[in-house]
Amino acid sequence: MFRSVLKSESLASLIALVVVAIVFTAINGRFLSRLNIEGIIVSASISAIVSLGMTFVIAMRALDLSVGSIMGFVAVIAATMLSHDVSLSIVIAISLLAAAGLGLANALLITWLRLPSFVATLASFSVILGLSLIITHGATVTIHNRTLSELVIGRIYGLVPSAALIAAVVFGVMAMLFFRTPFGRHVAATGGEARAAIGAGVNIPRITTGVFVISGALAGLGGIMTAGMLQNADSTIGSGAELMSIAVVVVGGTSLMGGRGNLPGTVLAGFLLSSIKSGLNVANVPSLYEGLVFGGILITALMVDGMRRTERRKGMLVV
Amino acid sequence: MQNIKNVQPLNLERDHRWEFVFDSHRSGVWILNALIILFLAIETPNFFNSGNLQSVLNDASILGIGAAAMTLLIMAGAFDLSVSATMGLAPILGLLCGGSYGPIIILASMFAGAILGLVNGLIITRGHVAPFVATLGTLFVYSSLGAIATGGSALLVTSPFLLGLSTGAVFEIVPYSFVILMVAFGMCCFIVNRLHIGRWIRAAGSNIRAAHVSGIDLQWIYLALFTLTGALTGLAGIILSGYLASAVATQAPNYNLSAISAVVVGGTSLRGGEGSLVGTLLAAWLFAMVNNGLILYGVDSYWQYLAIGVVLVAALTLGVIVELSRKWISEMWSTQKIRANQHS
Repeated sequence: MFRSVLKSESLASLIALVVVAIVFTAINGRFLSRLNIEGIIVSASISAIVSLGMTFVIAMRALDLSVGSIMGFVAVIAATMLSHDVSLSIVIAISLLAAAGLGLANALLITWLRLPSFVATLASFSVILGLSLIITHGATVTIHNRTLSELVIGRIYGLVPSAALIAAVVFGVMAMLFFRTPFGRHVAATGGEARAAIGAGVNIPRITTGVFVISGALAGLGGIMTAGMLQNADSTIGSGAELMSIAVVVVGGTSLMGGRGNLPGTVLAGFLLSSIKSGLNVANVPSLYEGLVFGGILITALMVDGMRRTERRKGMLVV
Repeated sequence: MQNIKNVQPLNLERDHRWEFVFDSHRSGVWILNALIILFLAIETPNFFNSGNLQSVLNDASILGIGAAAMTLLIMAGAFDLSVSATMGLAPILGLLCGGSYGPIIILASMFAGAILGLVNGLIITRGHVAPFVATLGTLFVYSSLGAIATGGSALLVTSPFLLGLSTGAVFEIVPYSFVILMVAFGMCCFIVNRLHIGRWIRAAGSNIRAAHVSGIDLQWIYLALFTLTGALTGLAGIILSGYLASAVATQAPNYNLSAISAVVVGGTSLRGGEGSLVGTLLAAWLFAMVNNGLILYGVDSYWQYLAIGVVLVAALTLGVIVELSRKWISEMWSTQKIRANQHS
């Protein structure tokens, strides 16, 4: 597992991360200030958590487009429950269960109705977004509970934000699951060659269900953490998160062709994109330019990868 | 020799003539269309006012123009996620460069869209990047460029030609945008059914390796298809801008996913290789009708998202059910025939 950090794709992200830090510090020293770094860690942790779930999905050669909607939905129901004075632990438990349930619904659409994951999660993206809009009537729900935000941005022993600890735990569990259990191997096998996996006795519906439940639950966790960070929730809290997390996974070196998952790469890419975002902010670049930079990085990374691939296929890789 | 009797005979009697309009893959979209029209006729007769029908047709056309091109792309086994950004950026560029003369603005935004599509195609074919992630990257880039070009605000559309084009109608019945949709649709049908490239598109979609080995120039096909998608999306974008009387970078934020939904509901498989433009058109009409019907029915606009998702699943599930029952019926039919033959 630790050797995999040194895989070339992860190494590239690591180098890019260092370069980004140096460049933005040179532009404005505030980049390395404590407050800014904490901000980066919190947003990178959230993005990494959501993208770790997406890494499983992509390793299985599927896609989950409902991630952003699940984030919004969970944030909205958590905020609504908190405003009705439900205790925090119950709120978190219910929200995570709801998120896992939505992931299960995705899995049922895929395994029972035999829909392609792209289509099934496209439908649930729309339905879940609709549900959270109906709950809030498009309004923003403010969260007055201080404990929730402490759980996300509060410092552990005055050192790092607790979001980093949550992300580290999630990463540890996911990495064990992916690299050290039969489940993880089956996920990769399904993504690599589904027929061979069936032949080897992999129960594909069960693997699909597990992966989508994980993806849903992690998206839900990301949604609660975003709500805690922002101290409010609306249904668009995760809008665009699905495509962003796919971008994070791909920049992290996991191929959309499935069969492999680079979990450390995903975390590094999450940190890379968050530091770039924050760096542009510190360097006073208008937020309009963010997309330009992100898209540019994504395309460059992929084109370099495409050029480097020795076994270059004349035909194109198609999802 | 005994087993030969059980082999199903080739079904030569099946009528293939109307399959391009109706077959079991797109039965879902037909059934849902029929059900919803029936429902609207009973519950909200206002739906059938000519003014309302025009606005539904207009919405359907804006979605359909892009979705028609997306159908070709998906048949060739590719995607374009950047269309929602092109929908904003192309009309903005068209308005900035096209001066004040309406037709020039339209041509300019189609040209801008074609260039953006060509860039997509070049990244995919020359850079060897999968279409999904390549267009995901250009989605970020183009939407950012659109916002930068206007400074994040809206450009006003003042050309009377454009405003008239997007809101007017032939003989006050058929909206101009629908006529444009029909032209675009006819062109796409012609490409798929009558040109060599149509066959190549399906070949590339069904087995890209085989297509490459049999000497098809895949790079050219994908460049052409992405350029076509860009141009048609630019056209849809300028019509939408004319309709809204302004151009914003984010004027169609979910256009990529709606267009893909329309293609899928229309019975085109995401696996590529086959597809139906008629189905896409029907699905675009279905989505526009559902959205409009919900408004007429007095439901919060939030329900639209829910409805779109439900329609998506329902159409596909109905398609599967009809396909299974058709197979079941024909199987029953042929076993009965075989039994009858055995008895005689």
